Amino acid sequence: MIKAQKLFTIIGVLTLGVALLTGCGAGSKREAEETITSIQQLDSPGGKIGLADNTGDEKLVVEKFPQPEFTEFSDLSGKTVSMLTGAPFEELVKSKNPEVGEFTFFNSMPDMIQALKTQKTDAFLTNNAVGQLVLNRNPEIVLFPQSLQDGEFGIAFSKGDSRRDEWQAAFNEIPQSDIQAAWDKWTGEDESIKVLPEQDWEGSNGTVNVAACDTLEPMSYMGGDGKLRGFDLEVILMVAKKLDVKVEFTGMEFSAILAAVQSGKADMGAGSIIITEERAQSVDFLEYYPAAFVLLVRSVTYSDTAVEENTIINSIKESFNKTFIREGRWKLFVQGIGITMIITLSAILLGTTLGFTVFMICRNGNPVANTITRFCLWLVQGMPMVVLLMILYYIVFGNISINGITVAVIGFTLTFGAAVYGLLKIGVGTIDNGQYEAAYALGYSNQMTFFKIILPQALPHVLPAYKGEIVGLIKATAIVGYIAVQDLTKMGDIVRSRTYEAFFPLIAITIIYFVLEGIIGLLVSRISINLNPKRRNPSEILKGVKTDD
Amino acid sequence: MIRIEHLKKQYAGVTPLNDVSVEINDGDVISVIGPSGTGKSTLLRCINQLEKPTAGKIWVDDVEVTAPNCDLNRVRQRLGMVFQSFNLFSHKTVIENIMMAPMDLLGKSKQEAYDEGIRLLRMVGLGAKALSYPEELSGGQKQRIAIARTLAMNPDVILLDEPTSALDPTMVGEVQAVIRDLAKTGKTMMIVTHEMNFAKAISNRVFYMDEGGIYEEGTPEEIFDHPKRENTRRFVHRLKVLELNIESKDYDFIGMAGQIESWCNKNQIAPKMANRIGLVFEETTQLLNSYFDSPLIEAVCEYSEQLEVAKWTFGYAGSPTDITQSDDDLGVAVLKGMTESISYAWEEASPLPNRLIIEIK
Repeated sequence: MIKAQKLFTIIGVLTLGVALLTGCGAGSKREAEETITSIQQLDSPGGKIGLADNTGDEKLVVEKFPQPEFTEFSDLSGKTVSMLTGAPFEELVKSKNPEVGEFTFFNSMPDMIQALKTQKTDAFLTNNAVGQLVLNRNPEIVLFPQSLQDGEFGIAFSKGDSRRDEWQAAFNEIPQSDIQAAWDKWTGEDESIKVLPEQDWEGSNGTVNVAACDTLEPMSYMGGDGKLRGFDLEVILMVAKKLDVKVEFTGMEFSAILAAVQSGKADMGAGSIIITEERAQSVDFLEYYPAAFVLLVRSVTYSDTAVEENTIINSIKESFNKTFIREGRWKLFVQGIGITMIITLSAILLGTTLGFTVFMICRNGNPVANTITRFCLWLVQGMPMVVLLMILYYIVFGNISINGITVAVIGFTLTFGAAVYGLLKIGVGTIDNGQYEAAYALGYSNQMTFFKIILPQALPHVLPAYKGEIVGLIKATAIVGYIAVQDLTKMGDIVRSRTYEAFFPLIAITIIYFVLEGIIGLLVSRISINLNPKRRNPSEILKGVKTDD
Repeated sequence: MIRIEHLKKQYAGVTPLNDVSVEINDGDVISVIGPSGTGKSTLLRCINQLEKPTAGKIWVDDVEVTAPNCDLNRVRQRLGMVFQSFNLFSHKTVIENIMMAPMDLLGKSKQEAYDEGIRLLRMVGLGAKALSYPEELSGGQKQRIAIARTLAMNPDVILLDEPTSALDPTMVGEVQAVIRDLAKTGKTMMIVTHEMNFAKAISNRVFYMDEGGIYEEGTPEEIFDHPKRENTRRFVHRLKVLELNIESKDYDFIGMAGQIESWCNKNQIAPKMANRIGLVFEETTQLLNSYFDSPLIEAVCEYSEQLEVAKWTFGYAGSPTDITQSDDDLGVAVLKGMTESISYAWEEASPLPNRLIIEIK
């Protein structure tokens, strides 16, 4: 990579697009070419470059440099352009070419990259910081040579928050060179220095809560240790140090950041946010770095020279290595499994308790209890799970400091409780009225009848469905990323945002989900065997009884 | 002793029990008979409060079970009930079905409950089925288990609600045998049944229920051999009854013929008999019409399923007129040819004093 950096320097000097390069080591030739390609694309669109190998012989390698599939805005007519969910740039693109076919939206960069590679989209819009990283890592993707618009990166404050001016003033006092150094550090190649400074100041002016995107490398993302980092965060810490304020970062989806700031869940929001008029209407911004909107497109000339060397097994090995081993990323998966299991198991326990309790209250037909229950069921079951979670997180608990996991547990407890209530109702409903009458006629009380006669007969009917509900629950927890919870799926997203590989982490989390479902399914099957009275052994039935034969 | 006072049970649109007052003495074995829908089961179910009466009071010994603060569970322990549909607890084995209640409610030890359970099982002839599940048994076996389950609580009174109605005819006998043995032990029993011979054999009292209450009550001999009231008689002889009224010479002859035909069909009367019933009505009314300018006739046909005989009774207004003495020899001859007997009587006090009775075989 050091050699590549040398190339960067040389190319950076050449603005007309013709470069002569020396000192490219044979061992890292491909890597260097990729770097050259992207940088060349950024700095001098469509240009020609000469490349010399380490023998010093000059060679023309133009055909080796990828050419963009589209070079003019007019080429985009009828094509699909993509951007991150929550990025309002359709008008910007349309102002350049009103005939763009379609706009599609993605939740994370890896999805978009994958979509571009697989021709699901033809171009995607991103900012200069992310764009650079994408180009560095994906030789088949190149820069669209036309500029869209320049702007500023901003840190969001809720509308009218006086702290913005205070922070802007403090920011303005920071020397420009410090900011540039940070930019170079986070967009640079050296992963080892990409760590946030310790918050070693006193924090006498309190603590601010910052909502930060966890998938936007290099500006704001989660590292292998599960901690948020990035250029944006470092800038915020620089200002915080000046103001003597402590900072707490909460990771979330990009699309959730502005909502978190507006709802008061967070004091500030960061994550490669480029200031636009529309965004500025809903929040105030602290401006901290120049931004540009760029479009990335497929390369037409790129050919993967490494294919011959890369067998399928090798590429799987490499993917496995990138996804799990590098930076100890398996720890992220373990963390994610932990969170998923905490939410699932809590929701199973609490939801079952809730459903059962409500069922017991409603069992004898109390009209008030039944009406309330029916209303709540209608409300909870009619809402898409993700909407319910977001309403709980941003509205119901909007002004209360409560973490996303708790909200997720509450949300899933409600839906699982509703399911358990429904199952009990169905199961108990299948029991013939004669069973009640026989028990009452023998002198059993209402309560005893239910627990001794009715429930033991009803449970075996509903356990298979209960098992299904649990599997459904595990799968449903995959959406908690929407309320800033880092569960298994979210961790998969985070890893994908670092490895820029869509396939491997997705398959990995799929397998993990299957394993989790299998384990819980086994547990429930065990319980259902124990609960089925007909599976008992005759010796067990008459245990402790002396029979005369 | 059970005392019922002015018991009334009303459902939306129907009132099976209007005003029932009766006493049941210790040791009584009472058969409750009557057409369907006359509140036989309701009466039983009101006693152990599986149905809440609309009005009236019921005492079991000194406890008023209709009182709101009554400890029903305690009373019910003393009132065993056997259901038409057995209602065995399907998640428990036969022996557990019998042991459960004594252990849960009477605090018996498992060993005591088991010993008693096995004894009862042997008594009903099913000692070998202790560890079977109810679903593995035949209907007759299930009902015998249900009786054993009831007996395990050693109740003072046993209420049997149509215990053999849901059974295959081949299994009725085994259950009846068990109940018959039980009746001999001197336990107070009330049994709703459609098996009249069985009722006659086991009970000391019979309630015939109809018209919203106990219509007629008596010993089996009184009820089955010498019923005093009309509905009882029709019921115990299993009579099917059709009533037709003629109020003018231009009566709807075709319509009435149709009514007779559909009544015969409904009661599965053999075609030959049905044909005769129709012809007798036709001939008799024609004869009567020839006597009166404005006839007023009430015709009642009773058909006994048991004896397969039919009886037409024609009551009509006017001066004494015995059509059997008529000179319309042909009509009378046809009539006589089809019937077993024809008799005429004059009943001065009746609004329709002429009474012609024709029996058909």
